[in-house]
Amino acid sequence: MSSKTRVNSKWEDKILLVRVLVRHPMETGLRFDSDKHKMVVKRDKKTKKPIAPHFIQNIVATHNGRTVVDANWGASVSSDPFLAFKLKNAKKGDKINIRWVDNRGMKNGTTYIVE
Amino acid sequence: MDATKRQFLKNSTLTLGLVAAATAGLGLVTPAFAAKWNRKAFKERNARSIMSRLGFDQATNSSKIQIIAPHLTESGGRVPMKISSSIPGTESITLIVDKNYNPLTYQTEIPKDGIAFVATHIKMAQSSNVHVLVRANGKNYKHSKFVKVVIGGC
Repeated sequence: MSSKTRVNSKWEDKILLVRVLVRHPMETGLRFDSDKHKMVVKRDKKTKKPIAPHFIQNIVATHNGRTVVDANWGASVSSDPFLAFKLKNAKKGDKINIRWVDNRGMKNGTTYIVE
Repeated sequence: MDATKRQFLKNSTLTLGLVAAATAGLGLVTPAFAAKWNRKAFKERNARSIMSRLGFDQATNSSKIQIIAPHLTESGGRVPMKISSSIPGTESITLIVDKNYNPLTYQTEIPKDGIAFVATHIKMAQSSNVHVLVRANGKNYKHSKFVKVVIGGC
């Protein structure tokens, strides 16, 4: 069982609300500079290199093989990102597959069986 | 679909797959996603420019786009945002946060007969307008909401 991507669902009458939580830093490479009062590209003090952004770029959800969500994300999405979407015509036992890929090519995902 | 066309598609998918496998290890975005992830729009610093780039500068404002977000939030790192569109034939929902370093936050595609609802948590650098751009049946719509952020000094 992958601990990186977690899914659960909740029935709202005949509509299924699917909630996904992914463990991911969603690093922008920016830090708040209190002097300049804004977000700036933060450089590592020793190496002077900017902190490399590391964030999920694309996440796809399929319902019984059919794509229901295809989202492109930027680093502005919160860390340990949350995603929720709704499905009609879902029923118990259906397979919901979530797959994501980040800007470093790292991939993960999970399959969830609707309860 | 005739045999030659099928063979051509099969071959090109195989090639794409090989290229994807080769570049994945390098940490580059795999070609299949690179085509979709709009690098220029995501790197853009100006919200108005992003809207023009995506073709939404002439979009009509629509109250059928619902933005459910707190009026005031303490933590700019995790602002819950629920977007739903009751415009028939909604194909995509795009979110732009005016005052973020990179305003383009996400672009979500939705099947036409699906439910146009998406909820996420986003980062907001400061109090700002949040613009939602919706594409439905070939037409562009937009709606905005102002969200106040109190970034606790730390």
